[in-house]
Amino acid sequence: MTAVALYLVGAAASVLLSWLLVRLLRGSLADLLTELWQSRARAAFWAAVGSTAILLLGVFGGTGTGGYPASGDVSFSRGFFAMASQMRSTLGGLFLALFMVAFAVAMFSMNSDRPRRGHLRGGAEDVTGPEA
Amino acid sequence: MTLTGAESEEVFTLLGGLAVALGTAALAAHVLVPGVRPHLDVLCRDARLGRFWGRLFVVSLLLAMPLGAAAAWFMPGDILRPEAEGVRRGALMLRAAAVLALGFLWALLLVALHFEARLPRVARRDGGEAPGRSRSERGAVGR
Repeated sequence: MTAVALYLVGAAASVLLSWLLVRLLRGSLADLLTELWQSRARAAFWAAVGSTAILLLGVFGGTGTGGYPASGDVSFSRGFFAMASQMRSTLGGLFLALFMVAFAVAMFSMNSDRPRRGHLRGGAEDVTGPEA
Repeated sequence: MTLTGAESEEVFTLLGGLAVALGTAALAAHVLVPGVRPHLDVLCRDARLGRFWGRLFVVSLLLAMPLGAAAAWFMPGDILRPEAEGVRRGALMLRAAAVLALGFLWALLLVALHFEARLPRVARRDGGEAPGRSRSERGAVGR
């Protein structure tokens, strides 16, 4: 098998791996965000953005070329280890993306739990009309 | 017309890289479309505007990824590695496609955050005004 063909197979495998992770996470992420914000549309939007970031960072990680020769045929053992290296960088990208999404959800969660400043001051900031 | 071994490998790299980039773009659009539309309607306060911006974003993403990959293939090589060919050129194609798509996603995120900050808190929680009516129609009902 040529190195380019093996590399493209590895890239397609990283796309598939990222897609499987997105499918696994999307439903529970949307449920969690809906519970946080009580708005299904807003939760679906940010769940879609987070899922796409996971997919794209996984694909970006899967572009690692460590171990591959530039061109020509590649032996089984060298191809195996090159593809293992490519999968390792895919998993690194996916781990980074998951960490970022989890960090963002944790920050949103902490902000939504914290009482708003207006409530601490007796709701004075909510008064907007000139007659009030 | 017959291609030499090196030429056929380059063509295979181009077609394979384009296929992977297009597949990734299609998957990204498949994830984005159902989730993004309802909230864009709320952010734009108009269902037609939300539909327009949603479609524009997805079509741009679908076009940008393969176009970025193709542009990277036509470049003579990386600045750091001018002799890029074969696997290195395929990697450049996929990286260009992924970076472009991440840039589009980042732009969508910033625009959404900007418009969310302008929404009243109650509209944000309840999903905003009823979508499906244009701004002028709502104005007519109000009058």
